[in-house]
Amino acid sequence: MHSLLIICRQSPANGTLAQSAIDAALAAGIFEQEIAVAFIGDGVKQLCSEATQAGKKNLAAQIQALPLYGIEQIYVDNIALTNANIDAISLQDLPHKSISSTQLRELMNDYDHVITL
Amino acid sequence: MPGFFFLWLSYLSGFFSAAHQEYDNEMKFALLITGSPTQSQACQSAVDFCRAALSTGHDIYRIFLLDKAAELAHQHCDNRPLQHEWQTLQKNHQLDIIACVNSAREFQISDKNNLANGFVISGMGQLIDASANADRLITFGG
Repeated sequence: MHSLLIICRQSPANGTLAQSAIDAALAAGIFEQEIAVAFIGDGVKQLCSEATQAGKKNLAAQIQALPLYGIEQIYVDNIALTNANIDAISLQDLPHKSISSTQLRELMNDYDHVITL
Repeated sequence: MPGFFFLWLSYLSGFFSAAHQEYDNEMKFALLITGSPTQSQACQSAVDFCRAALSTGHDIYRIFLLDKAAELAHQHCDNRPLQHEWQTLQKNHQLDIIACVNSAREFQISDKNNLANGFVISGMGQLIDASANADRLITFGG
């Protein structure tokens, strides 16, 4: 069994890859694999409160559900978060850690497999 | 002259031990492709990688087609030569090529109507299983 890091870097408005990344994370959760999810770049927009993402209600709800699937390691790129101007309110319910790009590099070293979508 | 012979011999033994080492470090690869077969190089690079890996004694555990790459599994894919390359490789090496069910739906591919030979439609669990079992997971993005 390998540990898995899923990096989400797509805006939810841009195709279906954002949804696929969360699907992969949930599937890995069901398989009880050691897994972490990191939101970087445009990917932080997936964490917006539901109202700001027209038609993507489901995705935000699924991200909120990640801890229920045993995914405790959730990382968010703090610089991208500031740039995207996302209010911290939508992140309050989600237990997560803020990381810098240096820490992200260390994170990638710590995991056996990395899936970047 | 004997010096030359020795040099040649050591070169030859080096060559053989290098080739031998390659087979010793045999690896199981899993491939994730997300790039479109018509608008990106991803699928072509992946099939080249597969061929190179198989010819040096490595094993391809699974190929997972996600997002735009799922178009490759369509019977009427716009890049037929590339699709044919994949199908030949699949046939010769019994490769496990999976198109993600959600992405396949985007291209209106269903296993009853227009799924190309050699491809299988399945869920995201197959990607996670591939990651759990393969030594390396390589992504070919768009």
